[in-house]
Amino acid sequence: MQHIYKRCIMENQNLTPEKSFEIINQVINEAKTRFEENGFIYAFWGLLGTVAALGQFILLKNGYYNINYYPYFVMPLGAIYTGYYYYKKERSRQNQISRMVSFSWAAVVLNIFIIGFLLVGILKQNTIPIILILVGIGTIVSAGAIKNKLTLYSGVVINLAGLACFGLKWIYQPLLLGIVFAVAILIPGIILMVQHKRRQNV
Amino acid sequence: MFKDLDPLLHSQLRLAIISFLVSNGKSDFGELKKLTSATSGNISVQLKKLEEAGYIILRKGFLNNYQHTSVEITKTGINAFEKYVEAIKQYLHPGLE
Repeated sequence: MQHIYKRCIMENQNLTPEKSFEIINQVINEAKTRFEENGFIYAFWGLLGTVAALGQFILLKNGYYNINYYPYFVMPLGAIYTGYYYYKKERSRQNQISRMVSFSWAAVVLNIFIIGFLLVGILKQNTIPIILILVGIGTIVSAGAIKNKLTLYSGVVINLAGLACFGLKWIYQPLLLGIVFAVAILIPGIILMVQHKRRQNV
Repeated sequence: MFKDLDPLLHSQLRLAIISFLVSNGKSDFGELKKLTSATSGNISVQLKKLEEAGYIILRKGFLNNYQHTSVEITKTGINAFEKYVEAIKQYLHPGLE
């Protein structure tokens, strides 16, 4: 769509009613499907996930088996903050794409909480791989919405890490989870934040 | 008889900006620049014209330590856009009037 503007911007004197109608339609359709992510929530969850997973790994490595899952109690607090953040910041700018992404992540996070807190006794060493696969799918959906290749690659890496995690010894699974959160969520989130700030720096 | 087309909106860049603002309510300079692929200078000039006509409100400030210009459409701007669309429809379908 952008090439149309590039071609037409300098030709204002030749604007026909048909061309006007075409521009209005294109821009309104673009507005309906536009979704921009400022990266903050990715960086926030990247940091939260890295700290919680590495915290679990350190506890397990030092023999604190009975409290190894305690670091994950920051996650529900993070989910509440995220809901509040989007309610305050994005409510006025919602469109069908942002709603689709919000619903996808709500479903992913809800399933992660059910798996991580309620089904962990049944799933045992399969818990972290399944969580990684769910996060990977959510990230790939977001990548499609914001049309960002870095996020897409991150989603694929998370998804593949989830599959590889099935073959990893259980004590090292939180270590992999922490590394994946740092490399595929925290760092891309910071890059998205920097890119977003640069775009607004006008 | 054909209605006059608002000369302020009968410009590709200004029309694109107003159409986007009608859909979104508000935006910012960076988003409009990305949307239209126009130069910063060109967008500044067109936004100034729309602001002088009372179609939009520009607010300059700082966001995360960076200079930030937010753009918001006014009621006058929405009315002007609606009139423009009505006039365009008349040109496209002259038999309907």
